[in-house]
Amino acid sequence: MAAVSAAPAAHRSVRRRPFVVRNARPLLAWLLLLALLVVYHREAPRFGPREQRSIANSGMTLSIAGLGQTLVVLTGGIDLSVGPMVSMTNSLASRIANKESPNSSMALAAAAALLVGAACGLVNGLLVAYGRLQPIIVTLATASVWGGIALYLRPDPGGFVPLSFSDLLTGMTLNRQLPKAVVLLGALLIIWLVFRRTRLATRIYAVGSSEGAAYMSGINVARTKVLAYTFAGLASGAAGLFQTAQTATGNANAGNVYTLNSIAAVVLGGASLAGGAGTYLGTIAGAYVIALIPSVLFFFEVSTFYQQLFQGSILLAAVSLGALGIFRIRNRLERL
Amino acid sequence: MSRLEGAGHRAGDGEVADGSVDARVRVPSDGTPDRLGSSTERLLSFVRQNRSQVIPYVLIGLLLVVAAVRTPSFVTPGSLRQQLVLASYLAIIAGGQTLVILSGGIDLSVAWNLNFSAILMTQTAAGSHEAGRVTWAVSLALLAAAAVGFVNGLGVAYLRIPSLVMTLGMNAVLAGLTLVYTNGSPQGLAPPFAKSLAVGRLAGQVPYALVFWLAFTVALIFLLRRTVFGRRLYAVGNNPQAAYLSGVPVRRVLVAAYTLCGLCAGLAGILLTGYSTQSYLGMGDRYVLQAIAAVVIGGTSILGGSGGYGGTVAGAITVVLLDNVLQIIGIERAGQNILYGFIILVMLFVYGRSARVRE
Repeated sequence: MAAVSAAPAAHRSVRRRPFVVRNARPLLAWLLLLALLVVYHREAPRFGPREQRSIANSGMTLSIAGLGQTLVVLTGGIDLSVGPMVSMTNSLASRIANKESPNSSMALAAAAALLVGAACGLVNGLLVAYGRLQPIIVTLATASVWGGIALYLRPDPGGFVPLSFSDLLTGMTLNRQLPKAVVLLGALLIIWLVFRRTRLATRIYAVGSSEGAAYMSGINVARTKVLAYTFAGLASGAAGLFQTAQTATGNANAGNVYTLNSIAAVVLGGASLAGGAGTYLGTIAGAYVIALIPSVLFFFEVSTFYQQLFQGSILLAAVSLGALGIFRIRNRLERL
Repeated sequence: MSRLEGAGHRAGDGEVADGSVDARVRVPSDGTPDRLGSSTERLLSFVRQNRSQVIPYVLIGLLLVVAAVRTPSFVTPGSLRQQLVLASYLAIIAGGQTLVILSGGIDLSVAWNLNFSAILMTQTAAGSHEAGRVTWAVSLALLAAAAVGFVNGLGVAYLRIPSLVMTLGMNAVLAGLTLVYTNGSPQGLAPPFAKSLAVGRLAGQVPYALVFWLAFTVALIFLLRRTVFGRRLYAVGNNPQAAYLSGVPVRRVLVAAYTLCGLCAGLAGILLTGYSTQSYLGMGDRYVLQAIAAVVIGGTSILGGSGGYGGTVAGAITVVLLDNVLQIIGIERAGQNILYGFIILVMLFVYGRSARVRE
């Protein structure tokens, strides 16, 4: 278990370190985001409500999916099925919604997407916690299953999504001044800040820090993990819905990028992949950094072929940066 | 190790799966190790101890029966030879993956690693039949693939980045690099050397691919069983701390495992290019999950330190047969993906559960 090697560093300083030091990584992510926004603002021909809406929407799906990935990574696991879950719920929603009764069918589609997402997460969680299998390989296998189901639901891209639904999530509010995605983002922040104060959140951090210690403290480790994975599934379902609203179509492959990107957002936001440390506030910044890079590259007339290269490089750079702390560990046995 | 010894040490504890070889030895439920009365008991005990070999071959037999019932022409020698050739490409990717999984990691970058090296070869050779040029193209492709594996290994061993994240990131970087390098449309055809290696036949009968696979298998099994590196790889996979304290250069072993895995992906890239006579974008995508499935079906523990290439060979044949049987039955890609997921999960339950948390 990776937690074994991570623990001793925490003992060293008893006094609480200053805020900036404690939150160096998330703050770095926000600084990076700020820098990108400044560049965007300078290079974009206009920066009105329309552009703000486009920015807010661009990172929204990833921010929602990133909430789920953050929870799982905090337990010390990883969820490789986030992308296919987004694809599947997107395909499902586009299958259920129909032209005859756009509003009621879309409401049903939304409920189904959230429910199915949560159910998939529950399956992941049960396999990881009660099956005692490795999260990597379990979610790799279920990713294949969810992706297959998505292909069944929507073999070819298409389907009907009511305009009212797109407008509900991605439109403007307050006299067409404020993008609704910004409101959603605020809601996500509040959800996190409230959630952070629940017992479940404390348990998730405890399990991620040291499963054994958490067990000894009377925490139901398995149940905590199941809940974390279930919430991750729910978040993926919600991300699939936002994707549906944003693209106004169903596509069995379009969501798959969110596996890599959600991990990148979490890592960029400063969470430790060993579990037990990190915050969703960082993940949001990470998500928007990843979403903004293509637009900023576009202003500098860089070919779209470079997008994936940059996103992969950012992930590797972020994990390498996070891994540099390894050189501070003196005990060579703990560096293994 | 004798059966008695193993049974005595692990008596009655079905939960132990610490990745070591003897963890797979289980005692029959009646609790009388070794002195087995009936021949059925003996058979059961044999199956239990060799299930990583038994399970894939039973699966292969079942698949062949299903195929024979549905399409009798499927089980002709010519058709089976073709299945083996297809299995050889997968088995070479899975061979590299076996090394990495034995070390306790996973390599998800094989998809674009093999794709990038294949494209590097066809673009460098640029349709030339000149021996010098082709040699240069092939060596460049292999070198690039090994270099990618080397970088993966450095990240995993020295920076301690989780192998999954390191190789996932590397996969994206390579996909992007390939797009930039080819401008979206790879050029050039497979050089004749790659073509004959992939689909040519020795004396018109034995495919070169199978000869190559045989040599590859012998070399890999020798590497794992009879060399210092092989022993160290198992030690690292079982317990890196213990291996370090025993004087094993853990990091160098890890770097070597990932480098070899990259090299295998490059080899497979050349073979697959020869098979389809050209390189194209996305040619490696389907092989990642299939290779992992082959390794897992072959009984190599995903926790590292236990298993071997013999099982992977059977696993690769199983996966290729399954692929074709599914096509015969008329199950398309969606169904195949679902089934692969299920198979991996079932195999995980059969082989690789971790111990309960109690401390």
